[in-house]
Amino acid sequence: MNLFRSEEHVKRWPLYVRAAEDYVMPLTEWAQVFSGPLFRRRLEPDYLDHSEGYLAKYHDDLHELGKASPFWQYPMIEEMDSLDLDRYRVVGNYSRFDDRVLNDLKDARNRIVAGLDTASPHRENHLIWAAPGSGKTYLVQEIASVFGGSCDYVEINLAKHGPESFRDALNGLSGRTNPVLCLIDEVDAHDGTTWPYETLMPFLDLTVEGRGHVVFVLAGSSGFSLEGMKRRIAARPKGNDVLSRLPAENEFVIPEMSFGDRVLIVIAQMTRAGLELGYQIRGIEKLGLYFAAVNAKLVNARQLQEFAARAVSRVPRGDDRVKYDHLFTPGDPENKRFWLEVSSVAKDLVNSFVSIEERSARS
Amino acid sequence: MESLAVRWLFPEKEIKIDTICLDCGEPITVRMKDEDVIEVDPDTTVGYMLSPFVQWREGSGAFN
Repeated sequence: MNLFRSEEHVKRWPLYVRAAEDYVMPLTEWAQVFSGPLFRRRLEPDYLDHSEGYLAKYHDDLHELGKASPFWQYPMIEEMDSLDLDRYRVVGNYSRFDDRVLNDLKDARNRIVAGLDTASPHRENHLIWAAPGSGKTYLVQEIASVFGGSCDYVEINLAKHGPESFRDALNGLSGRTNPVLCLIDEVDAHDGTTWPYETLMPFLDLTVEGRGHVVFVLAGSSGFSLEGMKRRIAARPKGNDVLSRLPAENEFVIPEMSFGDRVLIVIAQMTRAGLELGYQIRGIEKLGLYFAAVNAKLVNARQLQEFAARAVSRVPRGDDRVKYDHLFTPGDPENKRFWLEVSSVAKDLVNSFVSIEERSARS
Repeated sequence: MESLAVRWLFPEKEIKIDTICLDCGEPITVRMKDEDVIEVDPDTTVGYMLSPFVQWREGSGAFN
């Protein structure tokens, strides 16, 4: 236990890890945790006989204090017997687990799709604030894919452009036959320069001026929130002019991935990887899902996707289940190490499978 | 043995922990007796467990 004179002192400590902020607690609460039998009964002669139960009590005590770290989410997987992937689908293969996020993003999808369906006399531009690694590019790509070949998708990452190449990319949006969905990624880049918004602003009026049919999606991750990002944009030259061309109802947020989202991505990507290899995955061992969902090395959706594909490639032909062992190359010490670390809480996840249901699988 | 649990080795005795804040080096004092926390000075004192539960895989895993 590390003791500090206040929470502010913890957060100044060079070894402080923000991901472990759940474990900054008043000393009195820690004293309560350390009053459990795991500590209190150390002098008793039958201590070792009961140690497993004492350890469980210690975990329960921590859990009751509201610790929401991924480690404690195993009951969600334990209780998950089947999962209908279609229920969580926002668009295409982009899915979210939490109901509120799912429905908000479905609304956003509908507004973008409506703007592409009909050339409106109004501006159909959108602003997204997205948490890092939340898959904003993938979401917009999947919205464009709804239209098949009848919509052009153009992605412009402002951070990778200078003034001339940015203008050239934007000039390429007009004069097309198909409607265009244009993602301006990192729209908050090049802070301190005037050219990005001076260049962009007139193009946001392409559709209302009848010079093309372009739906812009401006996306960024700065400012810690949508409002924070808007304040940063507004503070820049022509920033308010850009914001005035983004209808307020067309602003939305893509939150960071929750534990449930990570589980969902692993399941969806394993299913998808199976289809690409020519067979259907119908079950995934719960311990494997838990490993993937809490693995700090699998930071974003892309890494989870690659991890899932490698696991599925190890499934023997004829089997339709991904087992925990398939997540590892033979002899990988990580396999045993993880099991030893979580066996005290997660043993019920072994040889227990989540059944995958999917009515509209896409490859 | 955890400093906050050492009292269980001395039933019915008052335990005093004198330590320093890992950030500023200023003193922290805790007095305990069995279930009771008698004194925490300063009263804003917090504990922080770096491991094991969020990054426990990089930490000691001591209580898993």
